[in-house]
Amino acid sequence: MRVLDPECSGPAQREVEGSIKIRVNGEQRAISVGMTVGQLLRDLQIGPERVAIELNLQIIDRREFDQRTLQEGDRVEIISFIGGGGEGMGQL
Amino acid sequence: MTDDRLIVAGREFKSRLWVGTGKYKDFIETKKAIDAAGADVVTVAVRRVNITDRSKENLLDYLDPKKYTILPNTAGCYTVEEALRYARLARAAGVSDLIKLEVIGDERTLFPDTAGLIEAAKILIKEGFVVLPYTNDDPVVAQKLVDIGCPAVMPLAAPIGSGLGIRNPYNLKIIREMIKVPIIVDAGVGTASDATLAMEYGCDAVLMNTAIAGARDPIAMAEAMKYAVEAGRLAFRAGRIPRKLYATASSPIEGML
Repeated sequence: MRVLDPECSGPAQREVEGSIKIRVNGEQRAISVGMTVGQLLRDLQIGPERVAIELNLQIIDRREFDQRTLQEGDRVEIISFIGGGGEGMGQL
Repeated sequence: MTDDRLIVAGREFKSRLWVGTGKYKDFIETKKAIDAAGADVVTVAVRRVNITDRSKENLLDYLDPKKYTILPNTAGCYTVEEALRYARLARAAGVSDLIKLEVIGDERTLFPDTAGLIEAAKILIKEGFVVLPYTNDDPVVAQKLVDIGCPAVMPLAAPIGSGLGIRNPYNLKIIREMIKVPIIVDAGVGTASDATLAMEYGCDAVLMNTAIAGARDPIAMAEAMKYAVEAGRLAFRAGRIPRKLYATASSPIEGML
Protein backbone atom coordinates (compact mmCIF):
# COMPACT_ATOMS: atom_id res chain seq x y z
CA MET A 1 0.00 0.00 0.00
CA ARG A 2 1.48 3.32 -0.99
CA VAL A 3 0.62 6.64 0.51
CA LEU A 4 0.87 9.71 -1.60
CA ASP A 5 2.11 12.91 -0.13
CA PRO A 6 -0.97 15.07 0.50
CA GLU A 7 1.16 18.10 -0.39
CA CYS A 8 1.45 17.06 -4.00
CA SER A 9 -2.23 17.07 -4.86
CA GLY A 10 -3.07 18.41 -8.27
CA PRO A 11 -2.56 17.22 -11.84
CA ALA A 12 0.53 15.15 -11.05
CA GLN A 13 -1.43 12.96 -8.69
CA ARG A 14 -4.09 12.10 -11.20
CA GLU A 15 -1.50 10.44 -13.36
CA VAL A 16 -0.56 7.91 -10.72
CA GLU A 17 -1.88 4.62 -11.93
CA GLY A 18 -4.43 2.81 -9.82
CA SER A 19 -5.22 5.72 -7.58
CA ILE A 20 -8.47 7.47 -6.85
CA LYS A 21 -9.23 10.75 -5.19
CA ILE A 22 -11.25 11.15 -2.05
CA ARG A 23 -11.65 13.89 0.55
CA VAL A 24 -10.53 13.15 4.09
CA ASN A 25 -11.51 15.72 6.71
CA GLY A 26 -12.00 18.25 3.97
CA GLU A 27 -8.64 17.68 2.29
CA GLN A 28 -8.18 16.02 -1.04
CA ARG A 29 -6.17 12.84 -0.94
CA ALA A 30 -5.16 10.19 -3.48
CA ILE A 31 -5.44 6.59 -2.36
CA SER A 32 -4.95 3.21 -4.00
CA VAL A 33 -7.87 1.58 -5.70
CA GLY A 34 -9.58 -0.87 -3.37
CA MET A 35 -8.42 0.76 -0.15
CA THR A 36 -10.77 0.18 2.77
CA VAL A 37 -11.65 2.55 5.58
CA GLY A 38 -9.55 0.40 7.92
CA GLN A 39 -6.51 0.64 5.64
CA LEU A 40 -6.93 4.40 5.34
CA LEU A 41 -6.84 4.69 9.14
CA ARG A 42 -3.71 2.55 9.34
CA ASP A 43 -2.04 4.64 6.64
CA LEU A 44 -2.86 7.77 8.60
CA GLN A 45 -1.62 6.09 11.80
CA ILE A 46 -4.94 6.61 13.49
CA GLY A 47 -6.09 3.94 15.92
CA PRO A 48 -9.63 2.78 15.15
CA GLU A 49 -10.68 2.96 18.79
CA ARG A 50 -12.16 6.29 19.92
CA VAL A 51 -12.72 7.61 16.43
CA ALA A 52 -15.92 7.77 14.48
CA ILE A 53 -15.99 7.55 10.71
CA GLU A 54 -18.52 9.23 8.53
CA LEU A 55 -18.53 8.20 4.88
CA ASN A 56 -20.62 10.48 2.67
CA LEU A 57 -22.54 11.63 5.75
CA GLN A 58 -23.24 8.07 6.90
CA ILE A 59 -21.65 6.76 10.08
CA ILE A 60 -19.75 3.54 9.53
CA ASP A 61 -19.85 0.85 12.20
CA ARG A 62 -16.29 0.21 13.37
CA ARG A 63 -16.76 -3.52 12.71
CA GLU A 64 -17.14 -2.64 9.04
CA PHE A 65 -14.00 -0.52 8.73
CA ASP A 66 -12.11 -3.32 7.00
CA GLN A 67 -14.95 -4.20 4.66
CA ARG A 68 -15.87 -0.76 3.39
CA THR A 69 -13.98 0.00 0.19
CA LEU A 70 -13.51 3.64 -0.68
CA GLN A 71 -14.70 4.97 -4.03
CA GLU A 72 -13.67 7.91 -6.20
CA GLY A 73 -15.10 11.14 -4.79
CA ASP A 74 -15.93 9.71 -1.36
CA ARG A 75 -16.00 12.17 1.50
CA VAL A 76 -14.58 10.73 4.69
CA GLU A 77 -14.73 12.42 8.08
CA ILE A 78 -12.55 11.08 10.87
CA ILE A 79 -13.81 12.36 14.18
CA SER A 80 -12.55 12.22 17.72
CA PHE A 81 -12.79 14.09 20.98
CA ILE A 82 -10.90 17.24 21.83
CA GLY A 83 -10.90 19.49 24.85
CA GLY A 84 -14.14 21.39 25.07
CA GLY A 85 -16.54 23.03 27.43
CA GLY A 86 -19.20 25.08 25.81
CA GLU A 87 -17.44 27.12 23.19
CA GLY A 88 -17.40 25.88 19.63
CA MET A 89 -14.48 25.67 17.25
CA GLY A 90 -13.11 23.58 14.36
CA GLN A 91 -16.38 22.66 12.72
CA LEU A 92 -16.89 19.75 10.35
CA MET B 1 -24.08 13.92 56.72
CA THR B 2 -24.03 10.66 54.92
CA ASP B 3 -25.27 9.22 51.66
CA ASP B 4 -25.46 12.27 49.47
CA ARG B 5 -24.74 10.74 46.12
CA LEU B 6 -25.41 12.37 42.82
CA ILE B 7 -27.30 10.00 40.56
CA VAL B 8 -28.07 10.95 36.97
CA ALA B 9 -29.86 8.48 34.72
CA GLY B 10 -28.96 5.64 37.08
CA ARG B 11 -25.26 6.52 37.04
CA GLU B 12 -23.65 7.48 40.31
CA PHE B 13 -21.09 10.27 40.51
CA LYS B 14 -18.83 11.10 43.40
CA SER B 15 -18.33 14.76 42.58
CA ARG B 16 -20.90 17.47 42.08
CA LEU B 17 -18.39 19.57 40.19
CA TRP B 18 -18.26 18.70 36.50
CA VAL B 19 -15.64 20.30 34.31
CA GLY B 20 -14.99 21.11 30.69
CA THR B 21 -11.64 20.36 29.10
CA GLY B 22 -11.24 23.31 26.74
CA LYS B 23 -8.92 26.32 26.89
CA TYR B 24 -6.11 24.74 28.88
CA LYS B 25 -2.45 25.28 28.02
CA ASP B 26 -1.91 21.57 27.40
CA PHE B 27 -3.25 18.15 28.38
CA ILE B 28 -1.06 17.98 31.48
CA GLU B 29 -2.64 21.15 32.84
CA THR B 30 -6.07 19.83 31.86
CA LYS B 31 -5.51 16.64 33.82
CA LYS B 32 -4.10 18.47 36.86
CA ALA B 33 -7.07 20.83 36.95
CA ILE B 34 -9.56 17.96 36.68
CA ASP B 35 -7.88 16.15 39.53
CA ALA B 36 -7.65 19.29 41.68
CA ALA B 37 -11.37 19.81 41.06
CA GLY B 38 -12.02 16.20 42.04
CA ALA B 39 -14.30 15.93 39.02
CA ASP B 40 -15.33 12.58 37.63
CA VAL B 41 -17.39 13.95 34.75
CA VAL B 42 -15.54 15.80 32.02
CA THR B 43 -16.99 17.28 28.86
CA VAL B 44 -15.29 16.98 25.50
CA ALA B 45 -16.04 18.34 22.05
CA VAL B 46 -16.45 16.29 18.88
CA ARG B 47 -14.06 17.43 16.16
CA ARG B 48 -12.05 16.31 13.15
CA VAL B 49 -8.89 14.35 13.88
CA ASN B 50 -5.78 16.25 12.78
CA ILE B 51 -4.64 14.01 9.92
CA THR B 52 -1.69 16.12 8.81
CA ASP B 53 0.04 16.31 12.18
CA ARG B 54 -0.18 12.93 13.83
CA SER B 55 2.27 13.95 16.53
CA LYS B 56 -0.63 15.69 18.23
CA GLU B 57 -1.66 13.74 21.26
CA ASN B 58 -5.16 12.58 22.01
CA LEU B 59 -6.99 14.03 24.99
CA LEU B 60 -8.30 10.59 25.89
CA ASP B 61 -4.73 9.37 26.33
CA TYR B 62 -4.74 11.61 29.40
CA LEU B 63 -8.27 10.88 30.58
CA ASP B 64 -8.90 7.22 31.15
CA PRO B 65 -12.58 6.63 30.24
CA LYS B 66 -12.67 3.99 32.96
CA LYS B 67 -11.83 6.57 35.59
CA TYR B 68 -13.76 9.56 34.25
CA THR B 69 -17.18 9.78 32.67
CA ILE B 70 -16.54 11.34 29.30
CA LEU B 71 -19.44 13.56 28.38
CA PRO B 72 -19.31 14.62 24.73
CA ASN B 73 -21.07 17.83 23.81
CA THR B 74 -22.51 19.28 20.64
CA ALA B 75 -20.84 22.65 21.22
CA GLY B 76 -20.82 24.91 18.21
CA CYS B 77 -23.95 23.39 16.65
CA TYR B 78 -26.50 25.94 15.50
CA THR B 79 -29.12 23.69 13.95
CA VAL B 80 -31.00 20.58 15.00
CA GLU B 81 -29.44 18.62 12.11
CA GLU B 82 -25.91 19.63 13.08
CA ALA B 83 -26.50 18.72 16.73
CA LEU B 84 -27.89 15.32 15.73
CA ARG B 85 -24.89 14.67 13.48
CA TYR B 86 -22.39 15.50 16.22
CA ALA B 87 -24.28 13.49 18.83
CA ARG B 88 -24.37 10.43 16.60
CA LEU B 89 -20.67 10.78 15.80
CA ALA B 90 -19.91 11.09 19.51
CA ARG B 91 -21.71 7.85 20.20
CA ALA B 92 -20.03 6.13 17.27
CA ALA B 93 -16.65 7.18 18.66
CA GLY B 94 -17.51 4.69 21.32
CA VAL B 95 -17.58 6.32 24.70
CA SER B 96 -21.23 6.05 25.75
CA ASP B 97 -24.82 7.04 25.05
CA LEU B 98 -24.41 10.20 27.11
CA ILE B 99 -24.60 13.48 25.27
CA LYS B 100 -24.56 17.04 26.51
CA LEU B 101 -26.89 18.49 23.94
CA GLU B 102 -26.33 22.06 22.82
CA VAL B 103 -28.22 23.77 20.07
CA ILE B 104 -26.94 27.32 20.00
CA GLY B 105 -29.25 30.10 18.89
CA ASP B 106 -27.08 33.19 18.83
CA GLU B 107 -23.38 33.76 18.21
CA ARG B 108 -22.81 36.67 20.57
CA THR B 109 -24.49 35.25 23.63
CA LEU B 110 -24.28 31.54 22.77
CA PHE B 111 -27.73 31.31 24.29
CA PRO B 112 -29.48 28.05 23.49
CA ASP B 113 -32.14 27.76 20.82
CA THR B 114 -34.58 26.09 23.15
CA ALA B 115 -37.11 25.17 20.44
CA GLY B 116 -34.34 23.42 18.50
CA LEU B 117 -33.04 21.88 21.72
CA ILE B 118 -36.37 20.23 22.52
CA GLU B 119 -36.74 18.99 18.95
CA ALA B 120 -33.22 17.50 18.87
CA ALA B 121 -33.62 16.02 22.36
CA LYS B 122 -36.81 14.19 21.34
CA ILE B 123 -35.09 12.57 18.36
CA LEU B 124 -31.97 11.57 20.29
CA ILE B 125 -33.95 10.14 23.20
CA LYS B 126 -35.88 8.02 20.70
CA GLU B 127 -32.51 6.80 19.40
CA GLY B 128 -31.51 5.71 22.89
CA PHE B 129 -29.30 8.61 23.90
CA VAL B 130 -29.12 9.86 27.47
CA VAL B 131 -29.63 13.54 26.77
CA LEU B 132 -28.36 16.18 29.17
CA PRO B 133 -29.60 19.43 27.67
CA TYR B 134 -27.79 22.77 27.94
CA THR B 135 -30.75 25.08 28.35
CA ASN B 136 -31.76 28.56 29.33
CA ASP B 137 -32.77 29.43 32.89
CA ASP B 138 -36.38 29.08 31.80
CA PRO B 139 -38.50 26.89 34.12
CA VAL B 140 -41.09 26.09 31.43
CA VAL B 141 -38.46 24.87 28.99
CA ALA B 142 -36.79 22.87 31.77
CA GLN B 143 -40.12 21.19 32.52
CA LYS B 144 -40.65 20.38 28.84
CA LEU B 145 -37.21 18.81 28.62
CA VAL B 146 -38.02 16.62 31.61
CA ASP B 147 -41.40 15.71 30.12
CA ILE B 148 -39.81 14.42 26.91
CA GLY B 149 -37.39 12.24 28.88
CA CYS B 150 -34.24 14.17 29.76
CA PRO B 151 -32.88 12.64 33.01
CA ALA B 152 -31.40 15.99 34.09
CA VAL B 153 -31.39 19.59 32.92
CA MET B 154 -28.45 21.94 32.58
CA PRO B 155 -29.61 25.53 32.86
CA LEU B 156 -27.07 28.29 32.34
CA ALA B 157 -26.09 30.70 35.10
CA ALA B 158 -25.00 33.29 32.53
CA PRO B 159 -23.62 33.25 28.96
CA ILE B 160 -20.89 30.68 28.33
CA GLY B 161 -17.47 31.98 29.31
CA SER B 162 -18.90 35.28 30.61
CA GLY B 163 -18.07 34.74 34.28
CA LEU B 164 -21.11 36.83 35.21
CA GLY B 165 -22.35 34.39 37.83
CA ILE B 166 -26.00 33.54 38.40
CA ARG B 167 -27.98 36.22 36.58
CA ASN B 168 -31.38 34.94 37.54
CA PRO B 169 -31.32 33.22 40.91
CA TYR B 170 -35.11 33.30 41.20
CA ASN B 171 -35.54 31.33 38.00
CA LEU B 172 -33.07 28.74 39.21
CA LYS B 173 -35.03 28.46 42.45
CA ILE B 174 -38.28 28.07 40.51
CA ILE B 175 -36.70 25.37 38.32
CA ARG B 176 -35.59 23.63 41.51
CA GLU B 177 -39.13 23.71 42.88
CA MET B 178 -40.74 22.66 39.62
CA ILE B 179 -38.66 19.72 38.53
CA LYS B 180 -37.56 16.63 40.36
CA VAL B 181 -34.64 15.49 38.20
CA PRO B 182 -31.07 16.67 38.86
CA ILE B 183 -30.22 20.24 37.90
CA ILE B 184 -26.68 20.83 36.75
CA VAL B 185 -25.92 24.53 36.46
CA ASP B 186 -23.89 24.95 33.32
CA ALA B 187 -21.98 27.98 32.10
CA GLY B 188 -21.41 31.49 33.34
CA VAL B 189 -19.79 30.80 36.71
CA GLY B 190 -17.03 33.31 37.42
CA THR B 191 -15.67 32.46 40.82
CA ALA B 192 -16.12 30.14 43.77
CA SER B 193 -19.01 32.00 45.40
CA ASP B 194 -21.09 31.63 42.21
CA ALA B 195 -20.73 27.87 42.43
CA THR B 196 -21.59 27.91 46.13
CA LEU B 197 -24.74 29.92 45.47
CA ALA B 198 -25.89 27.50 42.79
CA MET B 199 -25.52 24.64 45.24
CA GLU B 200 -27.22 26.60 48.05
CA TYR B 201 -30.24 27.06 45.79
CA GLY B 202 -30.52 23.30 45.75
CA CYS B 203 -29.01 22.59 42.37
CA ASP B 204 -27.39 19.17 42.20
CA ALA B 205 -24.13 19.95 40.44
CA VAL B 206 -22.23 22.66 38.60
CA LEU B 207 -20.43 22.33 35.28
CA MET B 208 -17.77 24.86 34.38
CA ASN B 209 -14.81 25.30 32.08
CA THR B 210 -13.67 28.89 31.59
CA ALA B 211 -13.90 29.85 35.27
CA ILE B 212 -11.15 27.31 35.95
CA ALA B 213 -9.18 27.22 32.70
CA GLY B 214 -9.18 31.01 32.38
CA ALA B 215 -8.10 31.74 35.97
CA ARG B 216 -4.59 33.03 36.54
CA ASP B 217 -3.86 29.79 38.37
CA PRO B 218 -6.23 27.16 36.96
CA ILE B 219 -5.14 24.39 39.33
CA ALA B 220 -5.73 26.54 42.42
CA MET B 221 -9.09 27.70 41.06
CA ALA B 222 -10.08 24.10 40.39
CA GLU B 223 -9.42 23.31 44.04
CA ALA B 224 -11.34 26.42 45.15
CA MET B 225 -14.30 25.29 43.06
CA LYS B 226 -14.20 21.87 44.64
CA TYR B 227 -14.58 23.36 48.12
CA ALA B 228 -17.14 25.89 46.88
CA VAL B 229 -19.40 23.18 45.51
CA GLU B 230 -18.97 21.04 48.60
CA ALA B 231 -19.67 23.99 50.92
CA GLY B 232 -22.75 25.03 48.98
CA ARG B 233 -24.12 21.51 48.98
CA LEU B 234 -23.53 21.09 52.72
CA ALA B 235 -25.13 24.45 53.46
CA PHE B 236 -28.16 23.53 51.36
CA ARG B 237 -28.58 20.25 53.20
CA ALA B 238 -27.95 21.85 56.59
CA GLY B 239 -30.71 24.40 55.97
CA ARG B 240 -29.99 28.09 56.25
CA ILE B 241 -31.67 30.32 58.83
CA PRO B 242 -34.47 32.63 57.69
CA ARG B 243 -33.59 36.22 56.91
CA LYS B 244 -34.92 38.71 59.48
CA LEU B 245 -34.94 42.47 59.42
CA TYR B 246 -33.85 42.91 63.06
CA ALA B 247 -31.22 41.44 65.29
CA THR B 248 -31.64 38.45 67.55
CA ALA B 249 -29.03 38.34 70.31
CA SER B 250 -26.96 35.20 70.28
CA SER B 251 -25.65 35.71 73.81
CA PRO B 252 -28.10 35.18 76.68
CA ILE B 253 -29.39 38.21 78.62
CA GLU B 254 -29.55 36.29 81.94
CA GLY B 255 -26.63 36.83 84.27
CA MET B 256 -25.87 40.31 83.09
CA LEU B 257 -24.84 42.86 85.75
